Amino acid sequence: MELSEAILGRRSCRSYNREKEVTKEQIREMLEYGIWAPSGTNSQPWRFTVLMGEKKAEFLEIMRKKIEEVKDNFTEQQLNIYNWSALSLEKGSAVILVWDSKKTWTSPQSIGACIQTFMLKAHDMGLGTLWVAAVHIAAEELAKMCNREGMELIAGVGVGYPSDKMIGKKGPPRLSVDEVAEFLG
Amino acid sequence: MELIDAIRGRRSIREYKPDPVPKEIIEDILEAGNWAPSAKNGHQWRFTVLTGKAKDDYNMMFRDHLNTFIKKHGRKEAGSAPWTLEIMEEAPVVVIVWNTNENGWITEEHSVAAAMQNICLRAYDLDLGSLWIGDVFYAYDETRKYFDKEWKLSGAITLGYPGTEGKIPKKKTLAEVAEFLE
Repeated sequence: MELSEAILGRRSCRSYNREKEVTKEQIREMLEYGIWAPSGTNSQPWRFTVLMGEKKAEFLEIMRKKIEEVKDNFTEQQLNIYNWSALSLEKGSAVILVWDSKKTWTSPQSIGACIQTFMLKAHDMGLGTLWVAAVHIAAEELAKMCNREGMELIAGVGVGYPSDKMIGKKGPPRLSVDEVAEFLG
Repeated sequence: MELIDAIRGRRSIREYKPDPVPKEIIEDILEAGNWAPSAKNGHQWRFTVLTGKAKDDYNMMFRDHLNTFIKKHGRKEAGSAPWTLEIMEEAPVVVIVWNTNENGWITEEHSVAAAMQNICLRAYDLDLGSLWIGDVFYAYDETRKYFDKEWKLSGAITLGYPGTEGKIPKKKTLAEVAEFLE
């Protein structure tokens, strides 16, 4: 599809059709494009662990166990967000954990660009995605599970075929250019 | 153009033609930024678009600051900044990018970056070149003071008609960066 169609059409997908499962090859294709995002000094700090099937279930177990362990440190509202995040990630076919392998001052921006890029590609392929930060609650445990110790966990991105509910979904209101930009000439 | 062509074709452009970019086109490009996802839908990105004298004045401030820095710390410490400044002087448009940092979360910086990538892709789609700049960080406090902003400085993006096709960067293979666990 046209670039503008992808940019405007991409939604945060929380409702999936599990009758169709996303394949490894499809996720490979998404990430093949994600890695063409720009990065500071072409450092390409992004690393991915794609969790499917049993490993996805194991990831959810780890995340839920950690939430339960540390629940006294959070308000009920915060805990709801963590639990809801886990539930949202459970709904899709796969979870892509995104790591920062370099941890330099340009890494956060480079990885943000990369995630947006592969999410646009996913939309182009008829797939839905959901960018979840809450996975950081179990960063240490997940790094161990995925053999990514020493790297910083940036996000978990859920992927799956969107359910019919997502057709024509409008998404949240957007700011206008006037509200975000000033022109000095 | 097709999304996949935009993603693969976008380059970091470091040479620009002097031709100005019409305001409507800049607005179109920034609009693309507004459609990025953001932490808690916070739309944390803000833009100060510099052209003409305003751009020249800011660049002069940056140049003065860099010169002082180089006198104090030596040329090597300034890294690519002097070169970046030349590019900012040549490009017809410099967009200073801010992060409102409402919550102080790193995810807000990720969100601004998603917007910046949308901007770079849309610019390329409209036959413009762009360069994602971090080197304004050499004048981090000075830039915030200069524009009187409480926000965090995320960086800058040059926009303009490209004077070069740009280099294809060497990329790691997917196998080097991705693992599949089932």
